[in-house]
Amino acid sequence: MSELLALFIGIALVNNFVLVQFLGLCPYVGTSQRLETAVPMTLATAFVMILTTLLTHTLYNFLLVPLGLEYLRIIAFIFAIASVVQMTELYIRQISPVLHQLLGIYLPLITSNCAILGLALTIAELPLHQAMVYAIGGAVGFGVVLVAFASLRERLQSEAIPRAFRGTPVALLAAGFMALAFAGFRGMG
Amino acid sequence: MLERTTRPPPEYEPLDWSSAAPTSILARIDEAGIVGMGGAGYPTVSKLASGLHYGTEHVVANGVECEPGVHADRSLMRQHLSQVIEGLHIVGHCLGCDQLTLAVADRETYRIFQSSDIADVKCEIVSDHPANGEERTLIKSLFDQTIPPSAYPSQHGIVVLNVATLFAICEAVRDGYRPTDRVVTVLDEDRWVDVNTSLSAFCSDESQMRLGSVATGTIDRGDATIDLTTNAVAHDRGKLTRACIHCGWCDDVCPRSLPVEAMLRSQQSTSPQDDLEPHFDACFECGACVVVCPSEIPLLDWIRQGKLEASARRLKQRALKRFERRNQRLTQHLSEETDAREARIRTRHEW
Amino acid sequence: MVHVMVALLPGIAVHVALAGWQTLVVIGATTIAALVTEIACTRSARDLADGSATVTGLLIGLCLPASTLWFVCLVAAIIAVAIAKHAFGGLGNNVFNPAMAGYAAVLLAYPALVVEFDTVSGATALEQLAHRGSTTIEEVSTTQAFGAFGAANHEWVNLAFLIGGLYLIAVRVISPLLPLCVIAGIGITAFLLDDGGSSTSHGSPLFNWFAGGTMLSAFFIATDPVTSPSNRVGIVVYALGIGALAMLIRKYSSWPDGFAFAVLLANCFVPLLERIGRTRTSTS
Repeated sequence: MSELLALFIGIALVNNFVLVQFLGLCPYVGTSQRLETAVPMTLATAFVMILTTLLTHTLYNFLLVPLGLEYLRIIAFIFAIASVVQMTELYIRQISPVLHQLLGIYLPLITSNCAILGLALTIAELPLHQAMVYAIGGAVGFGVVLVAFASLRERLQSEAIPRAFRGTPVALLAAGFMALAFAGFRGMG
Repeated sequence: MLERTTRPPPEYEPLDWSSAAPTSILARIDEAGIVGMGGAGYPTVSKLASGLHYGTEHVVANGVECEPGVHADRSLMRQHLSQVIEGLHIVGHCLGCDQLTLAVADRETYRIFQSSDIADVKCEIVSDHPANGEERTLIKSLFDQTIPPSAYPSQHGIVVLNVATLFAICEAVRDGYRPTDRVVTVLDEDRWVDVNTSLSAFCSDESQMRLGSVATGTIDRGDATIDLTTNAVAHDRGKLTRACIHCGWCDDVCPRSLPVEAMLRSQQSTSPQDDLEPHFDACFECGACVVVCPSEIPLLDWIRQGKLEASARRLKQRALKRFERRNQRLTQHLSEETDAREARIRTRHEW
Repeated sequence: MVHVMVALLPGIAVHVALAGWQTLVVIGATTIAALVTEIACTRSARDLADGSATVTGLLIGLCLPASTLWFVCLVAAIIAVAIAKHAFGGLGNNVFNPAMAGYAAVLLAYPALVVEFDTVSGATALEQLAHRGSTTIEEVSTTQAFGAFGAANHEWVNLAFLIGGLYLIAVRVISPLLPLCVIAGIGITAFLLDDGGSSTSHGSPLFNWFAGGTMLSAFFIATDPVTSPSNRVGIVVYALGIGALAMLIRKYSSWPDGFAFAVLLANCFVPLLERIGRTRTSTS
């Protein structure tokens, strides 16, 4: 149990996808302009992360390893992720058009989120229960950081900010200081 | 002793109010043009007529003057307490009410009242929080009664009148004077000022003036004049002298618990947050936040600007909605007409 | 801000008494660098009057050990004032505590130069706890690095900052709620993690209150009004979070003390806390 907890904290905080491993930076900067887009993005990413983990883990251990095709895993995983995202989109459109509307373009964009591929490659050789904890921890870490950054960016719209720093530059500075803060977890777990 | 300049002679016949009918007193207040001199400028005759119509249990003289640096009402009460009390009696007589209360916030006035052996008026002392001078807050602290926002206190049996208004009522009814001057705190000094005096008469240099107290007054744009509702004239402290350090004191002191700091931040940012709009409307401009602000930011100016912008946005949205509905109606009308015409053509064709 | 400087004086005096005149050199270097950066960023000396740059410089100087090289002091002060404050729009608009941003940056950039060695006893108590292997707390605490109730020397520094903080509360510059919650946060976490003295224990609450930068952070750093929440619920969550995070970082991470990172981590969540607090008060 404590081993799983360490794994969870390890991926959620100590090796946070965004702020320590620098994975998934495009949605981190792209969807954090408002809290209204960051929260749906968090939910969609978490959903896809958990689902792809199940799929790629099965794919790797029951198809690629028996056939000796481990070197094809990147292509196979990209294929699996893309189809999961497609199916998720179709499914969400069917059961909840409102949610589909809310997620909009961000749902198909998850395909190109490198945090998902990074996650799939990292957990491929772990046992399934550890892989699931890893995926949930990664999703929580990504979500917490994205939501905090989105609310922080809403504040970075003051007229007092020097012209050269307005918009993305000051947001990247803030992201840098957040990464600095997360360096405090170094060595934990 | 405050010097009062010579006034025009009385315009009306003095009235013996103790034997006069309520309607003739109301008529006199109406023709003298007395308005609420606490700042609202609501016609006093309307308030009294409403009190007469709904029946009145309490008449309150509001001497709670809590804006920082304003003491015009206090000076008036110290000099002319008997006339203020007589005004209160006139209103009581007119509304058929004998529960008369004088509310003050300073000990000195309270002491003067106690030594003046007035028996049938109760004097209450309330705390000097900047919001306490507001009518509904005062009613809440005196009678523990909450007036719903949709109603006037006079509809719930309570009539609150400013002490300067009561003084003007006394002079108009008893002596026949039309109110043409009032006590104003001019740059921290109380004096009688004629109405329609231009603000520039008090300004010795180029500095900006505020019509009202330093906290709650509005900035003079060059054409402001004193009227019956002006209680103070002050120098402006200057625009945004220091940056907001987000100490949160304004949020703590706000009597309506509004997020003042977030409102200021929204006003100063390049994209205002629209979820704060109801808060701007809820502010009743007591000025408590301006008093406590350690950076001396003119918060009320920002909030007033936010109020204006919010109402402009609402007007725009309403117009947009109306325009869309009209378009919808027109297209619907058009399609109905087309349908009818096609139906007509079809029937003719069959025929 | 004058009150803050006065309140820092006893702490500075104890620092100088224990570590010698070199402390004054470090504090002077950071303060002067902060002031010069402030003038360079605003292109005028007008904003020096608010004292915020001075306090930022003083706080960085008090965090850095007395043996710090001059250019490290310079880098810390420049990052604090130019990047963490003025790039974000100057005083009142910065999201991260400038002093802690500058200190954490040099902590990461020059770890070997900023490792704290006490001039009297070698490694400090928190250093020894962080890199002790499997020795129990009784064995470690017999070394010179431990004092009567806290870390050696640092207990007196912390006591001096506690007195300064009480002065700040007495003159109503800060409210007692925030520092109390920080101290409660670190006390509760230390109590829960303290298993009586095994090799993983990290000392009693009392030891942790009077070790490292506890009192300086609780009364002078976390209380920065600009970077802390303004609603009461937010303040309690923020301050308890700083205490708990600092204690967790002390115990589990490879850093000896965690206040700089704990404050920066809590700063990340301040806008979110204020937003949540606001929606709650406006719906009730």
